[in-house]
Formats: sequence, structure tokens, C-alpha cells
Amino acid sequence: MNTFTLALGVMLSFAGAAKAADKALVTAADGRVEIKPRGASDWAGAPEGAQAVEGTLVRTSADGRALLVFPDKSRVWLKEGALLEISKLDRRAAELNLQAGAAKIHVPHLREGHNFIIKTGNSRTEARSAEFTVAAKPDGGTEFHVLYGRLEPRLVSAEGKELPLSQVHQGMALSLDAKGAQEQALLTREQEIRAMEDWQPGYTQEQRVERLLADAASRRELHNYAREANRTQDMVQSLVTSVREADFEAGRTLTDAHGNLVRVDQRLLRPDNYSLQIINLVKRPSYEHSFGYFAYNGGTVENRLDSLQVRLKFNMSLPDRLDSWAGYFKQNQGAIHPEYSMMVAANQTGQTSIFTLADLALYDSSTGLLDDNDYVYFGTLTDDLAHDTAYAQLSKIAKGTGITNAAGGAVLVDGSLINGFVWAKKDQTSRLTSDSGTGKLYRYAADKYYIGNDTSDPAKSVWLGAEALVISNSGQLKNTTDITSSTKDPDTLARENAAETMFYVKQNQAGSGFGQVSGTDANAVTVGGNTYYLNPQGRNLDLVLIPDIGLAAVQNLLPTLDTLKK
Amino acid sequence: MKKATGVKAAVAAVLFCVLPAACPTAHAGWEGKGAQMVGEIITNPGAFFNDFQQDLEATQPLPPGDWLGFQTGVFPTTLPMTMLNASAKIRLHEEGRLASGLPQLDLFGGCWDMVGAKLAEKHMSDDVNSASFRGNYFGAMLASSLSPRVRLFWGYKHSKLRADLNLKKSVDILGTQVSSFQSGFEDNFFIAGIEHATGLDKFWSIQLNYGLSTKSVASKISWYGRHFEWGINIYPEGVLVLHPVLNYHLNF
Repeated sequence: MNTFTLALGVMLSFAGAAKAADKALVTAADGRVEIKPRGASDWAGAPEGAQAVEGTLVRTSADGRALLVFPDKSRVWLKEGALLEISKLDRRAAELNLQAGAAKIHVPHLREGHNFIIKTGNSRTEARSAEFTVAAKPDGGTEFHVLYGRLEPRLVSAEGKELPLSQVHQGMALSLDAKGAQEQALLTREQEIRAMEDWQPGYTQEQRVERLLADAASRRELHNYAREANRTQDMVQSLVTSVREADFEAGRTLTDAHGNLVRVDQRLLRPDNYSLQIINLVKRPSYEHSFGYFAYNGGTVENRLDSLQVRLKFNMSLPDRLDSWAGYFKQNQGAIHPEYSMMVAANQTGQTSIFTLADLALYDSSTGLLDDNDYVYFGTLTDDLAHDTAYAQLSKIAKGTGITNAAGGAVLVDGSLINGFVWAKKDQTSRLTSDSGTGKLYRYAADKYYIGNDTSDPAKSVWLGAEALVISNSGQLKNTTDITSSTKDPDTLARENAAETMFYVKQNQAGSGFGQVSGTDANAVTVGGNTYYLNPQGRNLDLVLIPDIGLAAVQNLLPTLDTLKK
Repeated sequence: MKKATGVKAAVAAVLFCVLPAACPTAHAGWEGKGAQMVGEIITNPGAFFNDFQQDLEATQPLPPGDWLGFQTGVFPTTLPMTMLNASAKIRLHEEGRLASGLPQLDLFGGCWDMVGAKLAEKHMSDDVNSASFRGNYFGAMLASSLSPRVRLFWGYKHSKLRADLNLKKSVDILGTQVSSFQSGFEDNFFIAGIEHATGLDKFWSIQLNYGLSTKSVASKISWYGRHFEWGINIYPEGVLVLHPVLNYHLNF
């Protein structure tokens, strides 16, 4: 191919492109659609694919609809009985004159310098990035319904003068009467639906609204979601504003001192009008022990659950609202006192076998204090086919009532023997304590107990070991100075830190100091002629405690704190 | 309560057992509620002032057709909190301008300074050493039409404030001696909401603001027209929870 041929081909291709830019295409037609080019005397049918150039008139009959696509990708749907003149059409501009009927127009983003203008009897409107309907009213007025984008209409007087009008934004309707008086309003629902219908030629009415129905279904889902969100919001608001203790909840996910992922959930409940119950649940997807003084013999465990329940019962009924307590206690000063507190910690990992530690303190009227008389309860609760499941036994113990210390160390709850669960009395001279000595917030201690207060049987001498530490949410052991020298406010400190405490029940062995605390867990012991297996799996209790509920309670009971401090 | 073991003391201390046997002071009804609120403010003053900062933040998208907006919070920020404030919004991209379906993009930001603190510092120099309460925020918002009258908007906001107060003499607040506090608040928020046109230049919107670090939630319900915005802001974890709001804006 020689140079001349190549140049001719390039020129022709440009010419072709230029020519294409001067034509609108009838891409869809239904019913009678006709066109009349400039200078022609008769109307001709405009089937699909017909081309319309500058100066062409396009009309639809009473049953006809058409879709014209312009070179700039603008689309014009003509409704029945419409008459449209293509006043100007070239590469940079399209100017249409809607002389009768209604049209829906979609104008995409246009390049700089490109225009799309729609004229009616008394208006001239420029549009870009917009979708709207326009109707040339029989009385000479014009009506615009803007779906998306905005229009910049101008009023055209009879003398041809143009007066700019207010911009019309999406969702708005502009109505111009023959004299040019304008009225803007929000689209009504019906106007919106009519405009948003599919104006494609040849569609039935059902097909026109098919997309709208699908959109409406999606919006209903959104409305339902919004309604649910509102309902949740109302619920949260009512929970907060009513300040009911029963609704206090707190939760946090963190890492414990061993590096295990932990989820802590707390509840502050009102089991009855006289009682207050705090529940702290500690959930770990897996548990590996790697920190602490006392030996852990329980191995790696999956789906570990530890719980701490503290139940405090009073001799008088308490108000429902926590923020009423301060005044209530003042009014009943001297008359109201706690009757007992029951603290139960349990390793509930195996639902049929629960390692449990409990402390019951009863009100001593002579001292006005709660006193546990140095008793403690521990053991492993197991499913007892004759009586109760392990969990049911735990729930009974947690109530704190009907507990009897029987001979030999056996424990009865509501008259029923709890197998594997014993009471023990502390040796008050035995206390062992230690701290890290490095400024870390870590302490461990051990107290000697005699099961059934039997000091003669070596097998009934056990040590209750406990470790307590303060950790960050990432499991780092905190220093004393991290708390005392911190510039952070108390709320932030509380939320960034937690406490972890571990309990063990160990055998007694010869030695001195902590050397008396065996690494072996206390297990088989004879109680009332029966062998009790106190801790067959070598478990411990490993509780992570967060101060969130306590902090909330502090904020609610600040007046109480004033007296506590004194 | 007599504690049998020191270990139990560790458990009870961190758990904070609610002890009515300590015979609290007499604060009943409103006084008790007020003391409770003061306690919440003292433990976290930054969060308390952040609620007011959120009241003045202009986190709605510019209405269709407007490209620039200015806003100032009137209540409860300027009055009675004396938080003089100014915010601005600018539209970088009109919806569908560059391509069909591309959402509207707005940038917004603002700042405030508590004039009352400055006055206290100047006119109460016997009591106040220094006082400074100020904050600022900025962010970006996208808005997309679900239908001609309904828009969905979502965005990001960074809010920061600083509250510093130094007194010359300690003040007894419910048994606690307070001579100074320095507090701040800083967080990134995710915002999502819906705006519904209710009339010519009139809108109703509801939005949710979620603090990514503090994991706090706030919601705003607003009715706004050409110049004024009335609203109710809900801060479930805040001291006052419900804040009625009045803001003034000028859009172009």
C-alpha cells in the first residue's frame, strides 16, 4: 500500500467519524414513529436503525414510542404523541426542540465544550450528567421532573430574550406556565414513579415497573434494616437512660498472661429484689499455661470456660434503679445489711466435671461484718445420675443457701450430699506470701487448709494457692509505675488493663515455706468412708477480671465512694 | 466484709463489690444523679467534651447542586458552652459528573475554641492559672443517590480535642481534691447515613458515627433547610446521652 492510499484511508475514516457525529439513531421504535428531514414534504416511517440528522423532525403517534441515541451517548425516549425537532446536531452540541408531548432524557457526562440543550415553547435548558423528563404542555408551558443531576433552565420570552431561572436539582419538579411563572416543588411519589418507569418502546406496563419493583424491594430491605437499627438504638437508649442494674453488661477480648486469646463477659444481675449477682465469664478457644509460680497439671485444653459468680443478699428489698441506692441506703441506715455473700469460681470446661472453689460469708450481727469463719469449699462436681448434673449442683451452691458442713468434710446442699465437694478450715498460722520484687504487679500466696477440720490425717492437709497479676489487653504484665505514674485518666487505665487470678489446690508435703506446697494437685481423699476425687484432671482456676462493671457502678454510686473513702 | 484470704481481697478489689454496708452519704434523686454525672465527667472529661464537638461537626453531605458550605454550631455549643466554632465543606466531585454512578465527594473540616475558658483565665486569675479547651476535625464524605429524593452517604472523620485546666487552689468535688486536669480525645470515625429530601431545600437525615479506637457509637437525626439545622444527637455512652442541637449553615 503506497503513501497516497494510506493517507486517503485515514482521511476517509475521519470523515466517516465526523459524519457519524452528525446523526442520531432510532434504536428502538414501537407503534407508529415517523421522521421528516429538513426540506422534505412528507413524513416517512422510522423503523429501528433509522438515522436523524440536524433539522429532522421526529414524531410518535398516539400509540407510538421511540428511543433516539445521540453521538454523545445521550438518550431521548419519546412518549406517545410527541413531536421533537433536532435543531442542531454536530460533534460538540445537540440542541433539541420538544414541540409537543413528553420525553425522558438521559445526558451522560459531557466533555468540556460539549453541550446538550433542550428547548420547549418558553424554555431553553442546558443539561449535563442528568436524567429528567420534560413535557411541553398544550398551553405553552413546560414541566421538568429531574431524577438525577441538575438542570439550568432559562425562560425564553416571546421576543427571544433569555432569563436564567433557579437551578433544578434531583428530586425536584419545575413547572413553567405560558406566561413564564415558575413553581418549584419536590417530586411527588407519583411523579417520581412515572418518571422512573422504563420508557423503552415496546414494553408492557408490567415491564416498565419491573425495575422499580425490584428497587422498591431493595429499599424495603434497607427500610427494614433501618427500622431494626432504630429499634436497637431505642433499646440501647432505654437501657442507658433507665440505668437498671439488671441490664449492666460489659465485655472485652484480650490476651492473658500466658498468651491465650480470652473473651471476658460480665453481667450485673438482680436475681431477686434482695440480691445482687455479678457474673464474670472467661472464655478461651484454647488454653496453654506458661506463666506463674504454681505447677499446672491440666495440659492444653480446648474451649476452656472459667466463671466467677458473686452473690450478695441483703435483708431488705433493694430499689430497681441503681442510682436510687445511695439515697435508699441513707434512709435505711442501721437497718439494712447484707445477709451473706457467696463467691463461687469454677472451671466449667467439662460440663460433666466442674472444678469448683467457693467461699460463703455470713452476717455476724455482733460485729456487723460478713465472716466466712475461715471456711472454704472446693472439689470437682460431677454428674450424679441419682440426683443432679454437675451444672445443677454448681447453680445450687452459687445460691449460697441451704449449705451444711457435714462430718469429715462432706457438704450438703438442701440436704443432698454433693459428691466430690468438701469443706475445709484454714490454718491461720500458715499464710505464705511472695511478690515479684521487681516492681511488677504480681503476687502469689498460699494458705493451708484441713479438710473437715481434720488436722490428724495428712491426706486432708491441702494448700490453696493463689496468684494475682495486672495485665494489659495484650497480656503484658504491668509495673506498679504503669498505674501510679500514668497520665491517663482512670477510665482509660481501667479499659486498657485487666486483672488475672489463678487458684490451685495442692497437696501438702514436708518442707518449709513454699516448699510445703507440692506441685501435685490434691485429689483422692476419704470422706465419710467414700473416696472423693477432688481434682482428677489436675485443673486450676484461671480468671481474667475486667473492671468495666465496677467502673460503671462507681460512676453511678459516686456519693457512696465519698463515705467509703472516709 | 471480713475477707478470709488475701487472695479474695485481690479478687474483690478488682471486681469492686458494691457494698451498701458502708453507709453512704445522703444524695437522693436529682442530687444523686448529678453527682453520678459529675463522676462520669471527672473520670473521662475528654469523652464528655467530644460529645459537644460532635454536635458542631458538619457531617452531612452538601445538598445536590451546592459546592461550598459554611456552618457554625449554635446550641448547645456556642450557647451555653461558649464553644466558638466554624466548619466548612467543599464538593470535589458532583455525583455522576466524571462518570455515571460515581458518588459525590465532599471534604469537610472545622475547629472550635471555648471562649469561656479564656475569659475564666483572664478574669478569674485568682482562681484559674490556665484554661484551654479546643478541638478540630476533618474528613471526607461520599454521597450516592438511591432514588431522586434519597441519598446514602458514608465517610471518614478524624476528631481531636484537648482540654486543659489548671487551678490555683484545689477544689473539693465530692470529697476529691481537684486542682487540675489534662484530658484529650482523638479518634477516627466511620460515618454512614441516609438523607431524604422532604421539600424544596429541605432534608431529613439520620447517621451513625462509629469511633474506631474508642468503639463508641453516636447517632444524629437532623432536619435541615437552607440555613438552619435542628437535630437530636444520641450518645449512648455519654454523660447527657441526648443532645438537642441547632446549627446554622450557608451553602453556595
